[in-house]
Amino acid sequence: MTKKKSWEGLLLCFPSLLLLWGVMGFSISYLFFLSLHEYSYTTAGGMLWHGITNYVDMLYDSRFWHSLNVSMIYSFMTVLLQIVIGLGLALLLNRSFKGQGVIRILFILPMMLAPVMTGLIFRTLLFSSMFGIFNYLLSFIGIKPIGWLTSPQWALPSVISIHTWQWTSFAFLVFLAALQSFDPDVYEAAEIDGAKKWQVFRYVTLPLLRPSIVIVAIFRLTIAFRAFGALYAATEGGPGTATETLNLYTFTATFKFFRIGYGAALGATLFCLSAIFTIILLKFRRAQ
Amino acid sequence: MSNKLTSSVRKAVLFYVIIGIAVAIIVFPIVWTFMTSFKTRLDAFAIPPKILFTPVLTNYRNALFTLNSQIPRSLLNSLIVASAVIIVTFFLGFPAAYAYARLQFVGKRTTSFWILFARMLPPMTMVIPFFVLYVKIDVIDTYLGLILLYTTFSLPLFIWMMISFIEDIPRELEDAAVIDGCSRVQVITRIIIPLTKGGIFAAALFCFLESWNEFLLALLLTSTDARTVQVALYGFITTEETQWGPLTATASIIMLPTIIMGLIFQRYIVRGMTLGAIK
Repeated sequence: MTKKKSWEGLLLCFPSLLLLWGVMGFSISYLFFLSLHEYSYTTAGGMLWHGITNYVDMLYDSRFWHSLNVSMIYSFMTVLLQIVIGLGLALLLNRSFKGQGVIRILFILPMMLAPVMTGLIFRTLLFSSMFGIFNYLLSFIGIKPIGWLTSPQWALPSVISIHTWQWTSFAFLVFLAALQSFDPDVYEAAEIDGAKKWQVFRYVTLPLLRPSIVIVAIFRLTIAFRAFGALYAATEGGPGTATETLNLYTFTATFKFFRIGYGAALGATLFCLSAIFTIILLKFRRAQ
Repeated sequence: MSNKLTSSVRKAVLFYVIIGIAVAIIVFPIVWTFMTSFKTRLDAFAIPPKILFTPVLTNYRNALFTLNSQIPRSLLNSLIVASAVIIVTFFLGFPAAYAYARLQFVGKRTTSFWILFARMLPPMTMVIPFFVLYVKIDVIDTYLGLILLYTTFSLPLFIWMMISFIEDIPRELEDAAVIDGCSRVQVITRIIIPLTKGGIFAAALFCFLESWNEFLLALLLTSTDARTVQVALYGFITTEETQWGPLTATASIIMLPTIIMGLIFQRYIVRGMTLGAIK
């Protein structure tokens, strides 16, 4: 079989591409179209032309900027934690020991749950101020009950920890696989050269891990940026707007306030930021 | 001499303590939900929390069999939607994966980028235009509406995973088949598909899981007919109270198949996740 360029491949891809392009193309164009209008029940078709008013309003909207801030803090903090904890665990568990198969299975479990369910579980059973297990455990060291998801200072750290709980295993598994794929000769050579443990880590392990860390960062940042289920279930963006990410604000504006045009503008901004972010990260990866 | 022994024993103990803590943190919410689902109201709200108690099935009865319960219907809906998604994804995605794995063709690089891009699309940016569209053409609250959008997310994942599984098969097998007179289609159906059965299963599982767990699109694009189980689960938090009983029971019901699937297919799951990360 010669590897000539042909139309056969394109034909096999055609149905998939048709569906994907159709949905993507429609989504993006209609979203931008809607963002130039606003919902008005007095207009035929429901949408009144607004030009770029929505975007101007957005730039003056402090709630928008706040939500962007929350999104950034949320995404970066959770991914940082995931990478640090995941790496720590991977380094620790990178050896054969009793029960390692079971450990791997158990670590997969949080990722299998629906995010909305995770949010609900944490909200009702763990973080609840009166009946939550967390407060119960803390009472042993004399800390008074805290409303983890209801207090303005603790809400954001609490939802960050929910996301971290659910997804750290991903980083852990990737790093573990990477560590186990490294050539042991490199480590032997370093030992022979008399390198100490932390030197080996800093000058051998870490550089080898860089590609994996970048991949994990890319994946998890894009997911964290558009997290919805767990956030909505845990706090709905509250208390007030303490945990309202851009994603949640877009949801609230569109479907609670029913400002479809403005919500679409927020959504378009969300899309652009996501796209820019993804492209930067992919370029960063390719540059390695 | 005795110092060395104590130090290594200490290290071993520390090692297992850390693992123990990590495992406890990972597993506790799941186990606690499960346990709570079998508790009576009194037991569930007991302080200090009860570890030993008499299990009851009241919560499950309330969740599944009360008059207004939406749970059975919503479970069926989730099942129908997720199954339809993997079927469509397979028939659309498998040929495409084969093409990307084996063939050269015009626009291969560009189209593969767009497939990846489809997966990078934030669901929120899809849900707003499609909500408006669906309302206008009256496709709101239908299976089709959800299936279309879920497939859009599923396809890139399925194709991406299948490419790697197909590439694992030695080309010589296909070449031999062609020499024996097989057409392309026959090569795919008689050789590739049987040999990648495990991979197909795993990829389909991933896609099924994603559709099963999806919340945002289901929340906004369904109301009564096509409501999926995650949305129904959320409905247990009302303005008056949190119906923790049916909530934990339903959560346990939802969790069980996903956990079992995870246990059976854990090797594939790990492989799917580390794919591309270390290559």
